[in-house]
Amino acid sequence: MKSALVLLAAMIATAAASYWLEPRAEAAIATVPLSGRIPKEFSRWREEQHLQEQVGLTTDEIDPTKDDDALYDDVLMRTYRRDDGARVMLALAYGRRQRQELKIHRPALCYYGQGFQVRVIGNSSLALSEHAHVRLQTLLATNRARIEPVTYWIRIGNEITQNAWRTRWVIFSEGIRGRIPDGVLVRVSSLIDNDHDMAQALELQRAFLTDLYRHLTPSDQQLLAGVPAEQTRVSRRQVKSPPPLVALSVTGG
Amino acid sequence: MRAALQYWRAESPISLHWQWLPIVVGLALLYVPTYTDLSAALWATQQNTQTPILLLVWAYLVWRERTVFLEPDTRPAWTVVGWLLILFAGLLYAIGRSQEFFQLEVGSQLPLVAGTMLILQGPHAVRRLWFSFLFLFLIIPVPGSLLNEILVPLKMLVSTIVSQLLAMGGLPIARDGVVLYVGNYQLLIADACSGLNSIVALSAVGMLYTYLAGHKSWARNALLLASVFPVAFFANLVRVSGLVLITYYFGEDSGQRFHDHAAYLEIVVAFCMFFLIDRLLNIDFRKTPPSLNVSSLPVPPRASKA
Repeated sequence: MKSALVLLAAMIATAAASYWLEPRAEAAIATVPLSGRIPKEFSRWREEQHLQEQVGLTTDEIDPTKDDDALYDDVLMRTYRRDDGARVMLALAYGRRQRQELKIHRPALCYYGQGFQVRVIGNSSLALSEHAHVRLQTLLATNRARIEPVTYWIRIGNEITQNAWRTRWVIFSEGIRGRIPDGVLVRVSSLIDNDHDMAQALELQRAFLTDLYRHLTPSDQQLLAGVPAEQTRVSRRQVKSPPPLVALSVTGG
Repeated sequence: MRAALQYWRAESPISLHWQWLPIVVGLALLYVPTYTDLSAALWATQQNTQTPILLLVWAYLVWRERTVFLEPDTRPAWTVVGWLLILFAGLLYAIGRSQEFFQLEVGSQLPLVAGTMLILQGPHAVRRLWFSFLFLFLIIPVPGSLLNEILVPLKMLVSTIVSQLLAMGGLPIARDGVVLYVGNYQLLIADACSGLNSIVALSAVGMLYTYLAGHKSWARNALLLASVFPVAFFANLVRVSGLVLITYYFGEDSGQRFHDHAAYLEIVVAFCMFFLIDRLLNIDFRKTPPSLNVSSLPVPPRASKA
């Protein structure tokens, strides 16, 4: 009986510990949706309505059991046309609470799940501004109707993650520090007629991303690409505790 | 030290039964929230729907060995191991639950139950319950990333094979990704149809069959277990093909009804296949001359009281 009571005490302690370890700090709820933050016209680009149907953001476009709403808090899909006729498709997906079992889907999986053949091209670095650098990932998605090069990045917390396992690690390490990270997928793609146009299309997508970033407010820039490296270093020197999630909050802007 | 241990181990006969009450209370405190959350999160999307059945089967397996709960035969060294397992289980649960790692949370049951048995009943109890512990593994949900990596190719494979097979049989069927177009109908191979659920459930059936058949030969048991995945995949193909055929010939309503009850058909098909495979192995293993290889002497399967 004594052992049993000690065991019960151990189990109660475990339950208490699991409650105490739960992360509670979250990003603030956005008051302005993505559609209000991303300009419809900027530089040489202008939004074009009702033109190209974009590939969905889940692994099943027509499956009613899969709910976009459950996975993302805000989604934006637009087609932009440059003054010389070039077009890109932009897809943004924001999830305020990234958890181990509920996190942003990676495009390779989404395209594959919707019947595309996916070839990973690679990754490269892009300087969005003097201090903001992101690691871009590119792939080529093909099906009977389209050839679509895709450029994307996924921000989880303050890190641009390269794969699902890294995402899990960031969610875990933020969680141990008591924080629930938010996450965003920034996906740009365009349609080409044959493989030779791919390099040109990827260059176009990079130009679009840089252009877009420059025309966003600082808080929207942080929303998409996180806090730039120099800023976090400065704030760490000034403040004893790590930069709070408030820096990434999406209110105002 | 020895005197302290002896004092610790001295138990009155009455408390031996009542000691399970705090254990049950503790387990409920920890795992009722776990399974409640699991049902809300995963079962809503039709993943891991077989878990309640597996839990029932697990309970049956434990009940089968219930004499384990009668005479405690604890050993000090194993009791220490037991406490270490409890510590480990506590860590798994605390981290798993707070960080929403379902696998750690659910998986913590293994060391917890094993540790509890070691502390209260002794190592012989754990030895006799080894299969039920193995079974608990099946209840652990597959991590989402792994799930997607497995599910999507699996769906593709199932839809490809089904469409090609049925097309060879003359059915007007076409495929685009994971959508099958047959006649006037359009069928989507949803995640739930990819068969991952049934593969886990059918693996459980396979393991159960192997355990209950009780063959002495390890090779034979290993072969039976190795056949689990192919059988499960095949049973799933049968289900999807059946669904396509019934929808084509009898309409959408019949197809929907078939879909809802198909899981039972799958289990029956799988069980029959295990039985057949076992019979085939019987022929193979009987060929071995007794003088050469005693360990693979065929043992007539116990009449399963399952």
